[in-house]
Amino acid sequence: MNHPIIRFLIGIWLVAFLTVFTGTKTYAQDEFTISGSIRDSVSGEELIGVSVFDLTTRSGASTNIYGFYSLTLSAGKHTLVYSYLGFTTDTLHVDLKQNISLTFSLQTANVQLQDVVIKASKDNDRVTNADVGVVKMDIKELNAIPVLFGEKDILNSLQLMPGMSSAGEGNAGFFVRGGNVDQNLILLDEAPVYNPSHLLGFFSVFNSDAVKDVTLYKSGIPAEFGGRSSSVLDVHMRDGNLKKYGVSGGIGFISARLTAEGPIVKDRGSFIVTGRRTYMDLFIPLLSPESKVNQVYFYDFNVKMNYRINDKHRIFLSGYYGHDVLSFGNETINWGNALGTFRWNWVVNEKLFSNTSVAFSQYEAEKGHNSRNSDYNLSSGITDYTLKEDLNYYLNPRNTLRFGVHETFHVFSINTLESRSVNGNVTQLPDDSYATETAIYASNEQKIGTRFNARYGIRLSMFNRLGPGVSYNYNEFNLATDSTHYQTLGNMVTYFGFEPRFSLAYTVTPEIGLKASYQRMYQYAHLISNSTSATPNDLWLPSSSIIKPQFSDQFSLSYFHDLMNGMLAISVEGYYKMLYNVVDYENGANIVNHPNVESQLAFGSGRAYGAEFLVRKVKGKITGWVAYTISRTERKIDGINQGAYFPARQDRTHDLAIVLSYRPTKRWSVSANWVYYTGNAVTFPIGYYQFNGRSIPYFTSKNGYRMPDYHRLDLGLTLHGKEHKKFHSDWTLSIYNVYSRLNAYSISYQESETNPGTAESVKFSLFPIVASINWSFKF
Amino acid sequence: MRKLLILLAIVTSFISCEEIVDINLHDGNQRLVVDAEFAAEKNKQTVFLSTTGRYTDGQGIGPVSDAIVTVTDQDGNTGVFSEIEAGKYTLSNYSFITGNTYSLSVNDETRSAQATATVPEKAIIDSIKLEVIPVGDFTFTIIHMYTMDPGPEANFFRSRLSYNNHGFYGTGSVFADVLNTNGLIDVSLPFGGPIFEGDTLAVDLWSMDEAGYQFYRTLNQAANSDPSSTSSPFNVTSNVHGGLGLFGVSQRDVFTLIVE
Repeated sequence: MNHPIIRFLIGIWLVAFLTVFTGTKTYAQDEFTISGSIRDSVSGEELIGVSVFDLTTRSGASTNIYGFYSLTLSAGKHTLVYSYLGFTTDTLHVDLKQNISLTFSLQTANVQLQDVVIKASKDNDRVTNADVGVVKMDIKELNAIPVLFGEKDILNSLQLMPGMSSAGEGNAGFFVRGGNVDQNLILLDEAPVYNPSHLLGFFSVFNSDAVKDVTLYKSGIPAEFGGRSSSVLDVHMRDGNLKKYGVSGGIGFISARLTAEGPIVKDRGSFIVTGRRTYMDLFIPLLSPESKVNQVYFYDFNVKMNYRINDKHRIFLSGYYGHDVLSFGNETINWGNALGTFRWNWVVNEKLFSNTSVAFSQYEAEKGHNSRNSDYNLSSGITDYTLKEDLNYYLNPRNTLRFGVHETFHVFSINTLESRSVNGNVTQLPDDSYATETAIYASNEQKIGTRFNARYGIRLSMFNRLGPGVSYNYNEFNLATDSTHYQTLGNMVTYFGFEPRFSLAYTVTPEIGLKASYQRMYQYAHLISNSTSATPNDLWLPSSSIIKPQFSDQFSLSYFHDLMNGMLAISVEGYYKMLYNVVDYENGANIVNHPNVESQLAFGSGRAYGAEFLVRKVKGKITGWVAYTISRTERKIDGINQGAYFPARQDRTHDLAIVLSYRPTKRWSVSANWVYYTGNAVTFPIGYYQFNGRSIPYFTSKNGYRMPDYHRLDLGLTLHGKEHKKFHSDWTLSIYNVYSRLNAYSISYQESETNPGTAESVKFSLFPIVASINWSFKF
Repeated sequence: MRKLLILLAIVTSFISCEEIVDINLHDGNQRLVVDAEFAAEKNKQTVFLSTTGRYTDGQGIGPVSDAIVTVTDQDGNTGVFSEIEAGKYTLSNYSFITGNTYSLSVNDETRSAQATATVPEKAIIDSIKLEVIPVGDFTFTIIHMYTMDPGPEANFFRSRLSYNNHGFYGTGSVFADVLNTNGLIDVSLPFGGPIFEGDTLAVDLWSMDEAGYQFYRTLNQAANSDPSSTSSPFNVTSNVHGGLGLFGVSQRDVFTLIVE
């Protein structure tokens, strides 16, 4: 904290903070503010993104991620409309003569009312607000989508939206607009998630029973987010029912889950606890007696508590712990995330909302070998300690300021080796690496006239790589030529990031909106990975004198159009993204237990561009969407492919998803989705040659081939149990890959059994048709 | 990648499957392959010329005959190779002098290739020592080869180990000395099996130029790589313009040790 730059950044933030505090005393007294929070009348949980609209002045606000809103209006009579997807719209008549603090509860809507709600608010917000490239999905909507093994999964379902593509069959890893997997900032209650996958990517770490809200930012990313260069996935856990105790859960083909929630003190504090565990490992011994030494399972827990101290103060404590175990023979692979967040909401006054967060995130991956001859563990990971202060200042109905400061302390564990010899010796290499990441930001969301909405801001970030450590210089042979040693907390290298953010919406008509955005994002931690799903070979590395920070520039244009009285919502978005200081492997790199991993890396740039089309039907018995993306993603890396652009692994020319839900009666619902996309870019040998008795494969351009195109149809059928006062259950039949297409997961080459001396290509497919039944209950 | 697939097979063991598929690998044009590794101390040098073949069945691999193969030093002295059998060309009585640069030229009716190489300083093996490490009930032996840094400039080496005259063990080691140590270089050569009294160990050390070093470095990494942990597939680095393979002139030293 003694670094002059840190003092400078904190100084700027304090000036801004004090200015706002001072400013809160100076507003004109012919205006008053109505503020408070909006809750679900049944559970008492705060609702995110509720629209509060004044019919008199045609101005409005919406609740933030903590359910708080603030709207400053002129003195006198006003008619306020509170509306939110899936809840009844409520109207309030007020005569403003003073500031009012008002907490409001909305009733859950039945199906017919839900149609009205959608028409009244959400769709028009989507047309007029300054969100560009933002996907907000209702958890109920996600849960209706048929998925592999019937296991509801947020990330697998989100991949059906345009611009977000899967990393592979059934894989929770995802690419956003050509960015790499590590370029997505994934937050769970503000704690970063470094590996969102379970079971090599077939499941995400997000238990949908514990999730309240999911927002994906593909562009137009607000200034409060930073640290990754492509996208932000912001996930918030449920708070737990403030009014009554309840238990819910489900049993499926390969896993079971259970949730308990209830008030700690009624209407003041609540808790929620969820847990999942797969049990497919129980079936492995059925394959053969020898198979019983193999283990494949994961488990995870979510815990959250909150307590409202009074109308101004509220605290939250949330945590996640998940662990994967895969072992076969003497080989063991484990990995998992541990997350924790403490948050303090403080309504400083009717215009100023403060959130202070302390977050912890740890990701560790380990692979081990234990046999008579060899016993070792090789592990890598990253641990973050974060302190954040975020402030929302509702200056007036036309301007909402957001500003804050974030500080993160990173600990990188890279290729830590523990080996045990017969003498019991233990060796550990090398030391952990340390770094700090500091950022301040300020932004304003402004209504300009009657047709323009803008959000503009700036984020200033700073990264310090700290000792102890050794900084190397490398020659053209990737050999260290000299080194500089740094003591504990010695400053090894410092980088700064200037990150402007801008988005603008123009309302052509109430049904048609045009939007544009620009953003720059910096990233200081880098995932070194050669696989689409997380494996323990993956490494998170900090920026260094060799590894420069990645950053990106993205321009985006959008067209929104609501048709048929809000029944159809159409959007077209185009983007162009440039990526700088992209990290890749050198030709012939070896990163496993390499003492200087950064010497094995190559650097370059990337570009991605495309157009995304989305047609959503949001009303009626049949709902759903058609999402299509046409895009191109390329990389240009020094020393690879003769330095020319080549298709990135995630380059996907066409990506189409059709999702439909139909609820013919109150008790039955049917859903279907069909996906099609261009096969990933891969490198295959075109020939080989002999040299000094050795056969050497020969390749042409990198990623010059394509995997076969992928397509699949899934169906889901749900029988909703009869509504009882205290108990409710659903049966869901999911059929994955209905026409059993054997899509290629990988293609490799091996010597032909039928024609020795020749090679043949072997396609490995994961899932033909898979049917599963899940039972969910709630009481 | 293999381990990852095994894991996936376990995870999806009830339902995953494999099948043989046809992939059009755009076999393309055959390329000229030059295998021209000369030993400076030898009187007779040999060049092998061949072509690349189809990956799936090797069709197309074969010798290249009737080519004109020449080597020229920096003073313009040229030696012309003679084809003694299909694809095999030899040249006798041509001197390769330390520090000089040579050019190799290959031409046939449709293709031509050129490469240059510099004769490096010869490094001499000073000594060999054994380090035996017990791991469980098993012993792992590291053979330390010590050689003097032959000069202040960057030096490049390749070494291979033979055991009881059973031929070379493994793919050998490729290393470089670019830090101007001007001292004794310690090179570790791992050996997996037990070593007994009376066994014979022989270490061959080739001094190479940079192109040879890059060729063998990438060749060994391609041969030993675990695709799940390293880069995407890559071509072995070649100094042959217009073709594949290597032209190099190395200096060889051999050290033999009988274990006591």
